[in-house]
Amino acid sequence: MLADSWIVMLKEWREVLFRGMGMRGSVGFFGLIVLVFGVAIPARSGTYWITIPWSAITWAWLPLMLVMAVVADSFAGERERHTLETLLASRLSDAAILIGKVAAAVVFAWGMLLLVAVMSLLTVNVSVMRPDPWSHVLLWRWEETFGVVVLGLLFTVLCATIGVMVSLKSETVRQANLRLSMGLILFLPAVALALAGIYSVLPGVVQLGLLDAVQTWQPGPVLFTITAVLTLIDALLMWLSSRMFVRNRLMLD
Amino acid sequence: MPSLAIRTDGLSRDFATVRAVDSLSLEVPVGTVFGFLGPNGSGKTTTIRLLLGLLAPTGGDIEVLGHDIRTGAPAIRAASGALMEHSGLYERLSAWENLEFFARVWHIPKPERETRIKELLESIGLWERRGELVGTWSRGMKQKLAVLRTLLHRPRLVFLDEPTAGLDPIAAAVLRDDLLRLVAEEGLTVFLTTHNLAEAERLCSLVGVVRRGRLIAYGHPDEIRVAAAGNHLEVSGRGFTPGMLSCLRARSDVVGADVINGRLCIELAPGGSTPPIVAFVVGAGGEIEEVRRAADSLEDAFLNIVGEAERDAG
Repeated sequence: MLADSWIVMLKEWREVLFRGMGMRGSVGFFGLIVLVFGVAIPARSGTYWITIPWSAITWAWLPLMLVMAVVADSFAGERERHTLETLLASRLSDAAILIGKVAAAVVFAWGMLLLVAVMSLLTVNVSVMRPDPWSHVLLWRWEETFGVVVLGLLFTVLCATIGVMVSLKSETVRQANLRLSMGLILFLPAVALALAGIYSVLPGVVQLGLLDAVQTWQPGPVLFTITAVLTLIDALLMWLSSRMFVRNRLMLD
Repeated sequence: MPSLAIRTDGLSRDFATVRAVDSLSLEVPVGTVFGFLGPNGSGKTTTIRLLLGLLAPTGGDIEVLGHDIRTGAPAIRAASGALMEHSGLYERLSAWENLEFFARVWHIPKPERETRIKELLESIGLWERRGELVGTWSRGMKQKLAVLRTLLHRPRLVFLDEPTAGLDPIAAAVLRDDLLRLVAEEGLTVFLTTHNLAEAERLCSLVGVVRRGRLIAYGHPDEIRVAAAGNHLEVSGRGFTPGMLSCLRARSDVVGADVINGRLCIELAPGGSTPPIVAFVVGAGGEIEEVRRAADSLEDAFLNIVGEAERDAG
């Protein structure tokens, strides 16, 4: 099944990433992202880019944007261009098609995130080059590295799975894009409002306890908790999307 | 190996209050080119989707290539090729990339994959254009490529849903010739739906006529033609006078009689037979060269069958 998902993923990249924008457009677009986020901003920030805690994972929205560039096309594009039925009539299993589509967005966005992260480290080290650079290589602490690599992956899976579910239920790419954009616009403020609302109704003692915990936080337990919660949500969403991806129902949509 | 490629028994499929396929029972032997004919909305495409396991039946049984659809749909799809209503080609990919993707989907090993794609593209004269994006091609070329895609993995059964629809007569004829040759070379079973009755007559060794999801005729095209022609007689010769026609029309075993293009055309009443009519015509001074039960074209037969079914339905 993984071999089949790989085949779907490669087709998706070739069709959507490289042919969708044209080869030059794709290389230009991705190159620009690496230049801006991997070179220009880190060069301007200097060592702060590495020494300020959590600076790296403030780009959490980067994989979100990259996923959105690809994922709307995954099923809505196949439906719009009348290729979905042929794909469903092939020997590919439901799981292989679904995982291939999600993986196409995840591997692309997460790969770009890692590339940008490595480029930014190189840029900062080069920009503050010392006489003996190898003895003073600037690296993130393990918390930031974990944030970029592990949480970046889990967050990308989260975005990709939601995107694929929206695309599954959309008739056209335009509709899928619109739904994703609207969802994004509404979702983030809604989460912020919900958290603020929950916080405001908590007893004063609990509020103080929370504030104290944030100020004296231990990165290990916090990262472990976030990782566990994200893994759980990802698994739940993958299960939900597999329930939505049923050949019989797709033919009727 | 089963002798039947497809067997359905009382197959039905409902969409809300509409019954798209109604108690369909048919058998398609292995190695047959089967034509599934019917007006628009008669359930042809739905039947293909049911046979491929893309839709679940509301009732009845389906067995394709020896597999029950409820448990063996993946095995059926793995051993079949399908050209559905649309070509299903990726227009932003080249012809080569399209075929290569599907060859990989069907796990054709790399060396064989390249040989097979080359062999198929050369067989229809598209090898030189393999690098062009499919989106830039004419509809006829896309249909040819889509047919090749269905044959790529050497399936045992191929479903072709109106493969020549929307093509001009020349492109359709070329595609038909290519299809006939490829089918003969590959030796497979074909389930073909088409509106083009001449095409069905040319390609199919077995046809089924479906109307509102019900099978209303089934057999070899010649059998269907003869059955639909029913009680029509065509008499070649001379001396078919107006008086003879009047007497013929007055007979209880004749529904109608007329001279068309010098031939005496007689429609017999149910149960009417040929010898008394021949004796009457000879007795009335007619000179007969040939008498035969009129065999219409498959298209006429189709129109008769469907028209009759419409009348019966009220």
